This record gives sequence, structure tokens and C-alpha cells, in this order.
Amino acid sequence: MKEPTDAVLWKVLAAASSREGELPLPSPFLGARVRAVAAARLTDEHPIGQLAWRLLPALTLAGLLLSGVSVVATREAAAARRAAVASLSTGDVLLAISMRSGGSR
Amino acid sequence: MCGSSTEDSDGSLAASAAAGNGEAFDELVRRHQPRLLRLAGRFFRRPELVEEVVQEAFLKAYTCLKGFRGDRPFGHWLTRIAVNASYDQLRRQRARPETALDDASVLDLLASPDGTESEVARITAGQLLARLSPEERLVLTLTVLENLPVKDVAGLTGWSIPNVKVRAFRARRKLRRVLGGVS
Repeated sequence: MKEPTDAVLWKVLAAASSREGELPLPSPFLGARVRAVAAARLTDEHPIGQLAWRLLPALTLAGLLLSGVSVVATREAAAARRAAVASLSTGDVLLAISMRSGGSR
Repeated sequence: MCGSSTEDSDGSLAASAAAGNGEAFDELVRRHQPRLLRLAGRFFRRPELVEEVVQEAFLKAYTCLKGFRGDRPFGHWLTRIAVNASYDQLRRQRARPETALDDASVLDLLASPDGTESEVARITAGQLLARLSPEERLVLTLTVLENLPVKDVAGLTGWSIPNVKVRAFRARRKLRRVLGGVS
């Protein structure tokens, strides 16, 4: 077979490229979209943004730990209150009721 | 001169956009988007890929606007960015597995008059070009399809003129070998 000419190469390249009617239509919103994407990337690339992303796992963990501590502390406080009430004698209860109602006889 | 006033206008819009004027940037996009779509369309057939390359090119231009010195036309600067964005996309596509070529579709491609190839023939052309490296595809598209002088290709790609010549020669030889091998 004879060697393909530049015209043949051109035909192959043209066949693999988009025709005029196949091209996407220009978008009137592309400029705004590009600016929005650039702003988002800028936030991600800003030192504070990057620091926030790096600290996010640690902050999440700290938040979970604090929530856990708070739950445990609340339960322990409730249990202590119940134990304290249970340990009161009948006389202590009567005295407390009379003090709350304002009597001190 | 009409062309120069347009370029001056592009330059002033670029300066204004670099200073934070979003509308100036939108106007630049409006002016140059059709040309960049056509350029990206030389490399890709999938419309979403063409759009992606053009958006990436404008994004790069937007973030580098402060680096535009105005010593050359804005359109040329933008074209260079678009060529690089197309090249990056070609490199990302490089991992595609090669598929077997159908001799009949290659003959159909080669025998058909310009612009009337069947879809199968056009897919075959894509498969043929997938056998080239991104550099070879880029340099062939610019020199053969766009018919750009070597000097312009060097300016757009950032490669030296001898480098462009060597790559174009090797790419032509490789594509001819691929075509000769299947038909």
C-alpha cells in the first residue's frame, strides 16, 4: 500500500474531531460559573481554609469526646441525686417538707 | 485599526477583570468562548469534554489574570492556555485500553469524501488517534488539522521549534505506520 499522505492524516484527524454542528453552544453563564468555581477553590486553597480542613477530624473527635463526657456527667449527677434522696431518713424528709412550706415548729 | 482596537479592548477588559470586575471577565468569556469551543472540539468529540476543557481554560485564565502582562494579544494568551488544557485532558485519557481496529471501517474512513464519514469510521479515527501519545496528537492536530506554522505551534505549546519539528515528524510517521498497518 502506498504511504498515506498529509491529506489522509488530515481526514483522520478531522473525522475524530467535532463538527461545527456537534459543538456545544456557548453558555451565557460560563463566566459566572468560572468565577464561582474559582472562589470555591480559593477558599479551599487559602491557608485558613486548608487549616480548617486539616483540623476537621481532630475537631470532630474533640466534639464527640466532649459530648460523651457531658452525657456521662449528666447520668452520674442524676444517679448521685437519686442515691442522695434514697439515703434520707423519714425525719429528714419531713423536716425538708416543713422547711419548704415555711414552717419551723 | 479594527483588530488592534479589539485587542486593546480585550487588554483593558483583562486589566479590569484582574482588578475584580466580574462583568469584564464575563465579557471576555462571551467574546472568546466560541473560538475556544472550536479549538477544544478539534481534540474531542464528546460535547461534555469540550465544555469541560473550555471551562478549565477560562478558570486557569481567571486565576492567572494578574499574570497577563499585555505584551501579546489576550486571544493568543488564552489560546495557549486552552491548548494546554486540551493537552492535559489528552494525558488524562491516555489510560484508555486500546481496542482492535476494524479494517472495513478504516477503509470506509479513508475512501469517503470529506465530511461524509460514517459514525463507525469516525469512531475508528478516534481509535487510531488513541494510539498516539498526547504530545503526538497535540502536534498533529495543530500542524496538520489547524495548519499552523511550526513557530506558532512552538509559541502555543511552549516547546522549542526543533522539538516541535521532531515531534511532528515522529507523529506523522507513527500515524502513517498505524494507517498502513490496518489498511
